[in-house]
Amino acid sequence: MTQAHNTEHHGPAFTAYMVVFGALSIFTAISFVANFAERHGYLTVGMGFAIILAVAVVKAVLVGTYFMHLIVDWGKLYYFIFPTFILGAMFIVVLLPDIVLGWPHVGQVPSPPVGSSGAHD
Amino acid sequence: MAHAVEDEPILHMGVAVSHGKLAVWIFLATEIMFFTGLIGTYIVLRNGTPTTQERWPTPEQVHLKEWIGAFNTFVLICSSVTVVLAHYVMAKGRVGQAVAYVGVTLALGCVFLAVKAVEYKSKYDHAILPGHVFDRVEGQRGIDYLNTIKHQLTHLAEQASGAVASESRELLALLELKDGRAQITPAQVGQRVNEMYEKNKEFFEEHSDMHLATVIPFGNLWASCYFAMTGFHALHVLGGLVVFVIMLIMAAIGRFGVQHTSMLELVGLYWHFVDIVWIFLFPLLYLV
Repeated sequence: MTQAHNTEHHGPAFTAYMVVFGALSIFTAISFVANFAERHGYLTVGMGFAIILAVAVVKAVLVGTYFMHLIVDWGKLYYFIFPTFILGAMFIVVLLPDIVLGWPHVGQVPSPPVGSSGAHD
Repeated sequence: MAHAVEDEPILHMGVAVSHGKLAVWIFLATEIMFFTGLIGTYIVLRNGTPTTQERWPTPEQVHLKEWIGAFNTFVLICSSVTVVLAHYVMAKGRVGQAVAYVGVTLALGCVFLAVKAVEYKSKYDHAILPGHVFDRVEGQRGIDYLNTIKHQLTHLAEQASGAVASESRELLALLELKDGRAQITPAQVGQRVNEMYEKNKEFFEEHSDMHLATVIPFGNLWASCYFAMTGFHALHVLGGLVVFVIMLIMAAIGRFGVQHTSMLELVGLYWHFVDIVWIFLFPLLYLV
């Protein structure tokens, strides 16, 4: 019984793997072309970034869904995979103030505090 | 009473996946957090540090070629396909075919690491290493920069020809003291060197033995991020390759069979995760 369970294939079919492989290759080419277009001024920096990031997310979802068999196992594993994504996103979000608070000071020379005489009492 | 007990549904504790798969997914969850830490820190440094005067290094400045990154992405995607096919055919009892797919996966992983080694060699040749990049040329670092550039320009003046040689001699003359005083500051030298490199980029790409240390703002920070992220990723690739080698050894001594289908699936899960990490590292480091 255990043997039968171990050798059973729960994942997608061969054709699905090949279609995903083709999609991943095409998406890699798209991100490369988007980067080229952005460098040569055909796309704005923001647009290029959005396309490249979206392509990376789609590729990761395809690998996870089909190659890692989450299309079958998601219902059994979501309860700890999903919180990991939330914590991962939160980790980056809580660090963002470092970037946002830095923007007003870009290129500015720090000025002394108001009322400072320049000498320590 | 006995009849009533028989009618009760059989309850199992835990989740409806094998212990092995659950363990691997828990391990992958910790790995997601690990790489999120690295990538998150990079995003903050990448977007929070540069100023309007001093921008984050471009791939050209740090000798990073986008097509090499894209090639490595394709190699890892191919290896993901071969490892998933190895599991697919193993589940159908075709052990020989599964071993062949594992062998191809191992070869593709080796190609990935070989390309990475070539990239690292390029960084080493151009001194794009943490702490070695001239991102600031003030104080003692400026004196170090002048000494380095004087040595490189002397080599170029002797070995190169044409415009590079004449420009090197011209810049060397400016580096000489005049009445005991410097004619040019390290920052001005850096600017001249950057212009000279930009003008003769093709020459320096063709002659890998001739170097010119350009000034790259935030170059050390970039190098630290690059080596931390790609280094840890390469270590994960290496870990996967070790497991593939063990599988091939088991196959060679006749101890690898359909009973290892689950093992192949679990190793595949790890390998696909390594692929996903690269899917994000490639655009972050090479493209965006």
